[in-house]
Amino acid sequence: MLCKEQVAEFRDFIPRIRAAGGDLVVLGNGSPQQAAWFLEDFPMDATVLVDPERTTYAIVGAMRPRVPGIRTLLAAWRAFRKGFRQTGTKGDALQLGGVFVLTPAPEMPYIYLSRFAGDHPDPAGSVKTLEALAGS
Amino acid sequence: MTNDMVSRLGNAMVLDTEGQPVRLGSRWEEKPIVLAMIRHFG
Repeated sequence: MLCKEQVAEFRDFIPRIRAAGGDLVVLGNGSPQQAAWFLEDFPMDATVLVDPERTTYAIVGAMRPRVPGIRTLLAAWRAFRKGFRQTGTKGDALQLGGVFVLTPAPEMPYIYLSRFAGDHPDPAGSVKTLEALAGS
Repeated sequence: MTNDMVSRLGNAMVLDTEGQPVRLGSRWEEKPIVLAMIRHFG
């Protein structure tokens, strides 16, 4: 449900991302079938890709704690109160992710690595980076 | 460090929802993207 919460937050920003000339790409660590099921339940106008081997997670240095901590439990409670529900774990539940802005330059002017499950940056941060690029 | 990371990330092969391979860097060759790497699909 924490992933749904994060995707829902980004989904609201898709118009601004598009207006800045960009796209939203969601990358998960489940299987293609699991991603397709996720999209059926949670439709969004974004590219959804999967990396079951988690190679990309290793490249960016995404963390994978051995056990969920108290901050994760608090984040789960936050998401639950917002109405999000866990509908099965489709991928590596311990693998954390992050948010990045990537440009044709190619450069990565925005990097956020999650420190615990549920540690999602405000999408406004990455979107403002995109908007600054569009205005420069 | 970041340049190397971007290069390696760009060359990484991932899959679309139909299981077709996609070079991740192809997604930002023509326009900037926000890449949200989520934990899992649940």
